[in-house]
Amino acid sequence: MSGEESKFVADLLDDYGVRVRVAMAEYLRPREPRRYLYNLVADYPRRGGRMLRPSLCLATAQAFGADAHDALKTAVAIELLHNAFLVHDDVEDESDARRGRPTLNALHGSPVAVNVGDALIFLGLKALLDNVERLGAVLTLQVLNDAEEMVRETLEGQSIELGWRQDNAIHLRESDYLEMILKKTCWYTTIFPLCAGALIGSRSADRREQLIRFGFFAGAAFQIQDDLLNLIGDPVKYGKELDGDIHEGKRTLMLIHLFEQASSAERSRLTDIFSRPRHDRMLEEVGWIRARMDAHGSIQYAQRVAHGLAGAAQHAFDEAFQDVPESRERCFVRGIVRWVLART
Amino acid sequence: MVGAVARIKRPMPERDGPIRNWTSVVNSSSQAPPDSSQHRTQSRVDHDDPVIRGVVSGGRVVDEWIRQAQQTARLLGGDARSTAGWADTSGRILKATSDLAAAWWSALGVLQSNGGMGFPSAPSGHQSAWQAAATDAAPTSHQPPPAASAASETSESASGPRLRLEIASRRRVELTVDVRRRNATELRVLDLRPERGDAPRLSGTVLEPWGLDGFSLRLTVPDDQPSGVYHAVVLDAGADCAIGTVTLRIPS
Repeated sequence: MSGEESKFVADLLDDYGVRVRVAMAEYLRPREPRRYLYNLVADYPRRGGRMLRPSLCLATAQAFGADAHDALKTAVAIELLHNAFLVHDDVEDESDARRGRPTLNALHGSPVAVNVGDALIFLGLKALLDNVERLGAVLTLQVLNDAEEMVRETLEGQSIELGWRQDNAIHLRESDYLEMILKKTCWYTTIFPLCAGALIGSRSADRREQLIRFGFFAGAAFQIQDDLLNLIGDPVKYGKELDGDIHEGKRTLMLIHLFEQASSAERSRLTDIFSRPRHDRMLEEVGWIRARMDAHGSIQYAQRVAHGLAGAAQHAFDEAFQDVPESRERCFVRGIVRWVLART
Repeated sequence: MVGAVARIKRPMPERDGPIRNWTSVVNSSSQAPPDSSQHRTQSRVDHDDPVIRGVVSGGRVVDEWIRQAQQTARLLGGDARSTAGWADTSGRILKATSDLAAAWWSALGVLQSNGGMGFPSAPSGHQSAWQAAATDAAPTSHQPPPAASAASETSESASGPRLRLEIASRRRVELTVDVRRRNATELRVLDLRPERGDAPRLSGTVLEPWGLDGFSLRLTVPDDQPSGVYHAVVLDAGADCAIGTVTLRIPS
């Protein structure tokens, strides 16, 4: 990705980010009870983040003909729901750090964190309902309908992944992984923002299937790159503990590849390590797994898969955005695929 | 006869079926290569290549998801034969939801005592789905009204189930019926409980299938029933599950 292209995407992400943060502030106003709810509800959203998801929604809506404000509430809802998922993810994964600071569960305990996540979900629902003023009842209901599908798919994907960890699944295939991230990641990261944006912009679901394909390929590339950053990312920029996914036993493409390539002795050691609870996995064991990934080329393998998926996403973009007039928003959505892989 | 003349033959097609391989996404263009043998060599994909493997695998996953979504849409009664048909699923669901939303409150009826006015017409937007009407009843206190005088039949609905109401009340009341399952055969309405306070429950409400796709509801509101909002759950006794609610508001 050229420096110019990268700057274009980054600048627009900043622009969209500011607009979403301003609109989101309305939903995060301090009120009582503050100490264990509303102050904490605002914590993750205020920690930053790139605002990829709401930006995709805003840009797609405008590319398909919407006014700049038409998709703003939906974009806010997407970001609030994203933060809700992060809070709950951190509890489920027993994570310690998020966006460079201790997680809510680490700071306040899991019960408080779960409640905060629940509140964020309902604030997201409120933002979707508030669409009615600008979009009218019919379109608001259509967006809500899509949002319900998105949340359901995300929860199903999360349950698949949690089940793998619970059952210490070791015979997973690449297609299992891709199916899981279609549900767990792609729906809320790319598919829903794209579909909702197009729906608001065009008042039509005609491109839905093409957008689902595009969203899947782009979202899958994004997730694999995100998992890679957990292993090879810049620890300061990444904001989470490196190798944390290995520690958690998260079934990433790299781990699935390692299981496939490992010798039988290595495989039985891997199985043994992941059969134990997270806190019983030693740091040196995590280091050994990381070294085995290097030895078997698992990281390079995943990088190539991510590039292939990004290529497919570019192709799918051309179909989904066929006949959509050229605009800076259209350029942004197209550019996001390459930006995803250029992240460090 | 043209036996001596060489027959004109079509060139052999480069492929004999549709391209369904996701590898075409990354390694081919829509333009056919000039030499078909060269094309065949080029299209022999390396399935061990992570790039190809990931895309092929991903293509299958998303295709399968879309296929299942189409199947679900078909089961819901929509036309999933074409992409456009499936893409319209949300529209169909929206319509069903709108019908349901209409049903939530369109059974609303207002009874006025002694005026002979019956129910006012439902708002025009909901009339096609549900159109509730009833005569006013003149029951004696605590006594169920004569069925014939209290009942009134709804009009035929084009898009929703019909509702027949038999409500006996001297006072103006508002009633909301939300029943989601049309094919339930054995319906039971639990007691109407006050939303607030300790007013006595209202029992004896009867909801039963009526005709092919309708419901008939019978309710008596005693004269001394305190004003307020009352809710009851509707059960499908056959399936032993809740399928709706009845809400009664007695204005003060």
